Amino acid sequence: MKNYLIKKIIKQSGQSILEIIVALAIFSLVSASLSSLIMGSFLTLNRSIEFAQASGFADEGSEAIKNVRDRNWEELNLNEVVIDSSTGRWIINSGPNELIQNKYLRTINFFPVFRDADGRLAASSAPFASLDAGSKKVRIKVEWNTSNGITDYVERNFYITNWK
Amino acid sequence: MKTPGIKKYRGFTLVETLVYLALLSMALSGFVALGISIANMRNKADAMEETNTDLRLAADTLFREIRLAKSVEIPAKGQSSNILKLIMSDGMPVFFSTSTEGRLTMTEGTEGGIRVSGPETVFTNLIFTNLGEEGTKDSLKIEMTTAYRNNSGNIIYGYSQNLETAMGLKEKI
Repeated sequence: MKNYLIKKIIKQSGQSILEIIVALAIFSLVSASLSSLIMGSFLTLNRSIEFAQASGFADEGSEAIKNVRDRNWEELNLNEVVIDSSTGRWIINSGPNELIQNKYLRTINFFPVFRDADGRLAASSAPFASLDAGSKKVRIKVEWNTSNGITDYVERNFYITNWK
Repeated sequence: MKTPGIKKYRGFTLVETLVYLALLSMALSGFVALGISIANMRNKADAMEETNTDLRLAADTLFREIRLAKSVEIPAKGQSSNILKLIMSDGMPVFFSTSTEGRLTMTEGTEGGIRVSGPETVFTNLIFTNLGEEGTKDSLKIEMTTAYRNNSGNIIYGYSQNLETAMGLKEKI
């Protein structure tokens, strides 16, 4: 009787449902990791071009501001600006931010600059700090929602002065 | 009479065979679908990488030359053009244009243009706008769109990207 059972077990060479389930589980694990690997490379490719595009828009903003500064300092007498180039020249208008290509939100802020008695940059609260009407600090921020669902941004900070 | 051991000569019933075939075909179609989608994604990733790299390379070359230039001849201030002619500080002209097959071409001097972008991409859009004014420096707005040269016409390899930025000339007028 015992011999017969052993013989029967050996003879059963087909796959049991359990084996198939295990095989499918391994297959799905492998395919899931392969797809996530490939999706990861897509995300990286997208992120790098998004970063290049956002940097482009930030640089466009800084070029516009520098060009307007060379033309007429008084036009920069604003706090939050948006850029317009549709008329064949750089124009900056007052506005909180602009959405470019339905994706990138560009915010440009001007901040007052204070200097101490020696003409060095100083915090507004520093002793003897006074407002320098011929200097401004510019902050350009371009924000976007990345393809993997987080908000990223590039930022440019620089000072501009009314010296030609 | 139930004979011990007779079971081992038994074949599969029709139902067993059908169930087996169903499971096998599910598994096989899964394999095939995975294989196809991996191949497609790989090609798509290739197309994306090729396009993005060419776009950035072309942009880098453009920016480098613009930074070194003394003046912009084409487009004139207030104008737009799909070619760019820079005059370098030694007086040599440098041209940028798209060739008939859509590749970005740079010509230093008068002849012997070199391809700045690769053979697998097409510059579908290239616009230079000189936003400088009389009395201010040349200020170039650059808009460019690069598409993957999709010879197969297969929609999944269709990919294009654009880059828009602006850049002023370093030298004072």
